[in-house]
Amino acid sequence: MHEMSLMENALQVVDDLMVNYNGAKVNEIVLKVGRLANCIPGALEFAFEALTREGPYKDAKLVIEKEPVLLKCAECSQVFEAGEFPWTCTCGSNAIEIIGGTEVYVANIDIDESE
Amino acid sequence: MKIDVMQDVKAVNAAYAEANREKLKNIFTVNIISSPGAGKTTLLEKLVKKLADKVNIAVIEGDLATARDALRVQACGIPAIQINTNGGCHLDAKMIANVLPGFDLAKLDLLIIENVGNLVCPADFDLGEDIKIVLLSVTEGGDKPIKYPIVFLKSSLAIINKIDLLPYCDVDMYALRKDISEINPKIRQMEISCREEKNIDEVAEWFLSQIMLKKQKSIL
Ligand SMILES: Nc1nc2c(ncn2[C@@H]2O[C@H](COP(=O)(O)OP(=O)(O)OP(=O)(O)O)[C@@H](O)[C@H]2O)c(=O)[nH]1
Ligand SMILES: [Mg+2]
Ligand SMILES: [Zn+2]
Repeated sequence: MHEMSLMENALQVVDDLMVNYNGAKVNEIVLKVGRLANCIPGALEFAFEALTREGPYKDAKLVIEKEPVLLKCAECSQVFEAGEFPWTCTCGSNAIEIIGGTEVYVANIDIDESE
Repeated sequence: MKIDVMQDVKAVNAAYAEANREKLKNIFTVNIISSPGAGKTTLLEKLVKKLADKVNIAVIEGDLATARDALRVQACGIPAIQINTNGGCHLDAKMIANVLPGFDLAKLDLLIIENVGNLVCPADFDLGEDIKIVLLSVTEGGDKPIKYPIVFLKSSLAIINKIDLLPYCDVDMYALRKDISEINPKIRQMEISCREEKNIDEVAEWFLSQIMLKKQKSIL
C-alpha cells in the first residue's frame, strides 16, 4: 500500500526536523495532498495511526488538506484548475500539462518544546 | 509552536530516481505498466526474441511474490532480476537502485522494467526511466483509459494487446483509441496480439529507434 510508504516518508521528514528540537512533542502535522496524488485520506490516516503508536507523535493529530489539480495549456500557456476529463483549455486545445496536484507535502507541524 | 516545513514527501523517491537516471544515461530504459495479466511478460518474451541479436537487453521484474516472471525472461537468454515487493503495489526508485549493481551496465543498450500489475500506483513513482509504456488488453473493457487516466497521461506509448480476442469482446477499438488520444494527444498507440505475434515487429522497430535516439542524446 503506497499510503503506508508515503506516510513513512512524511514521518521521516518530521524526524529529520525534530533532531533540532531535542525531546519536543508533536501536536499536529499538516499534510498537503494533491487530488492526483493517488492517496486516499482514510488510508493515510490509517497509516498515520499505525505508525505513531509511540515516540514524539504519540498524541499528534494529522490534518490533510486537499490541493487542486493545476493544468497548463501548451498552446496558450493559460493556467487553470482541472475539471472533469477530458481536459480542454478555453482556447480549444487539449494539449495539457499537469503542473500541480500530484504532490504530497508536509506543510507545517506544531510542536511543544519540552523545556 | 508552529514550524513551516513545506517539504515534498516524494523527494526521497525523486532523489533515487535522478541517481538511477544518471547511472542509466547510456541505456534506453522503459517502465511498463498494466493491470495484472494484460500480457507484460508475454510481450517481453516475444520482443526480446526480435531484439536480442541487435542490442544488449536486461530486464527487471516487479511482482508481489514469486520469481516466475524473471525465470520466464531468463529462459529467453536475457539477464533478469526479480524484485518482490511483498505486498507493495508498485516499484519505487530505491528498489531499482538496489538491483542495478546486479547488471553489467556498461554493456547494456536497453533496460526494461516490468512494474507490478496495477494501473494506478506505479504511475506515481518515477524509477529513473526514459519513458513509461502502458499496456492494455482488450479483455479489460474499453473504459479503462477514462477510469485510469493518469497512467495514460504519463506514458509515451500505449500498446493495446490481445486483439486476437476482439471477436469475443465488446470493445469499440475506434472509441478506445479516441479516448486515449483525448487524454494524451501526444501518446503513440499500437495494436498487437502476442498470441498470434501480430505487430510485434512494429513494437520492436519502435524500441530500436528509441535506443538510437538515446545513444545520440548521450553522445551530445
Ligand atoms: N489470447 C491472448 N492471450 C494473451 C496475449 N498476450 C498474453 N496473453 C495471455 O495472458 C495471460 C497473462 O499474461 P502475462 O504475460 O503473464 O501477463 P502480465 O501482464 O505479465 O501479468 P502480471 O505480471 O501477473 O501482472 C497469459 O495466459 C498469456 O498467455 C494475447 O495477445 N492474446
Ligand atoms: Mg508479468
Ligand atoms: Zn489554451
